[in-house]
Amino acid sequence: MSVTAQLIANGIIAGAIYALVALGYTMVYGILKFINFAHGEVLMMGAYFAYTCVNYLGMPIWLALLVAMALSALLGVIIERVAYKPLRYSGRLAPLITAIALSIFLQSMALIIWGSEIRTLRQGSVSKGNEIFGAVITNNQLLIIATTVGVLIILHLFLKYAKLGKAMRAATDNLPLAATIGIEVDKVIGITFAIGSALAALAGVLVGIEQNIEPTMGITLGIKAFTAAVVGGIGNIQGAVLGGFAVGLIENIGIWFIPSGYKDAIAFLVLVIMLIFRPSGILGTKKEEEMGKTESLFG
Amino acid sequence: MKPLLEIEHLNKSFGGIKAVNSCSFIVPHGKIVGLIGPNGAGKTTVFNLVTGFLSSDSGKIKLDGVSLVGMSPDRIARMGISRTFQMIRLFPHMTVIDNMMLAIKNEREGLFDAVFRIPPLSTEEKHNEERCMEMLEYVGLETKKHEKAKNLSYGQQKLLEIARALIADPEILLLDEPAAGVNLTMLKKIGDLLKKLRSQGKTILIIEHNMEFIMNLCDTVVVLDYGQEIAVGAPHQVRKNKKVLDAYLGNIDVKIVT
Repeated sequence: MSVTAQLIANGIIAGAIYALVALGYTMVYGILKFINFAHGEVLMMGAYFAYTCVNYLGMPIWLALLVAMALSALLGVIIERVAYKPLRYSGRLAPLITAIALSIFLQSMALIIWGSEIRTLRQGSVSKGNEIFGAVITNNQLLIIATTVGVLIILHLFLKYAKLGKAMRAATDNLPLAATIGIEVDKVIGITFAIGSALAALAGVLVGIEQNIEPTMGITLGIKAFTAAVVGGIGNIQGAVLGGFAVGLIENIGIWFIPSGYKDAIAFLVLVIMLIFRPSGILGTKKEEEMGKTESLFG
Repeated sequence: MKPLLEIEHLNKSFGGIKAVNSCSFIVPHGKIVGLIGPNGAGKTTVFNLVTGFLSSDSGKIKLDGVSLVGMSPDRIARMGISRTFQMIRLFPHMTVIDNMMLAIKNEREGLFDAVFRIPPLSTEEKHNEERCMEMLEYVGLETKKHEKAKNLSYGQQKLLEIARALIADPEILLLDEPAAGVNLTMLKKIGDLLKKLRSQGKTILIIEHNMEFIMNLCDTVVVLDYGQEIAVGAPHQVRKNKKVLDAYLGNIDVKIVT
């Protein structure tokens, strides 16, 4: 077993989760230009949905995952319609505060429904793991990587070729113009929330299989994924994936140099450095360009 | 016959400035109506009010008798109003054909349908693509199908914008300065295209500063000044109107005489 290989493997596994969650932040930001800070809580709810399906309804884990993704997609759409849509033209601060309130609300709800005990979706006994390129990776971890890669490919194809995917890209590029040519903006925004929330639920279930489920799990994961989205260039889909893996790798390789107790702090350090030196992120568009787009809207 | 577009006592203020001040005019079916006036007269603001990008303070906007007040921009677009912009607005990173395809209205589009609407899988999408190609041929852009919109020349982008507005099969087409910044050849091409559209029964409302272009093309001209219509009539009547000459045409009357 090689330590370097192991750290890289751990980084990729963590990065896969961050990438899935970061996509939700970045897709919503791309269209509505606001950070959905309740996104981490949707992930948490997704994990609990799956937990309930497995432990109370006796479903196999794959079915529980699909149900959790569907329910979370619905939750995401409801959140958008009830909490954000009425505030769409109220500036950026109002929806941001609402998002924070929502995340507290959802945490408290989870606490009431499922209690504060730590749960898990782990199946059977801990398996021994496979040695790949000198790193020990368990079957569950392989599952995480495979699922993430599969989902990313599907998402890429959807955005590139499907009519609705193109409409989403158009709305991200220029929302008023998308409306001008008759794209159903509300529907596109709804679908964006649905997809983002389903991906968050997937991440939540994967975390639940690998680690634990608790009402506060969305906070740290959410903020790290948000960091990933910013590092990659918020609003940019490829950037979110790149940022996710970047944060995962930096965090895990970082503990080679500094005590592992500071692992969670590394992501924030990366965020601060990024915001100072390249606020638009790795793949983000320059700010001037984006401003010009909205300011000169009506020529 | 009822007019296609009716604007009645429309008002819009920005702070203390009345950009549109009790403005009223109509656009009849199958006609080309010119909306002219000095800079800042409120022409583009009228367009933004009609297309729902600004909400009016008061007044009526009706398309074929149906009030558009309070409708969202995308709904208004689907009601049958297409527009182009003074500054060209396309999706620059998308291909010409994708820019066109996005503007097509689909009948009965379910969620499942929209998600799996991928050209090789959907006959309707194939049909739409053929329609887009016909339109691109119509404006002479058929060879640019897979080119990204940002790589087209200015004139070609202008044509693509008009083609995109037309592919939605609108009841009325609102054009904001289609002649601005294009060369004479392109100008003639656009003028011919608009005449051809009128002969097919299309209705067009057009903002333009190029007087020769407007006078040759339009059936009716509406002159705006300080947000209010000061003259409405056939081009030859409007150009003799004293108010209009004072407000706007006075500085180019030499050109008209010659």
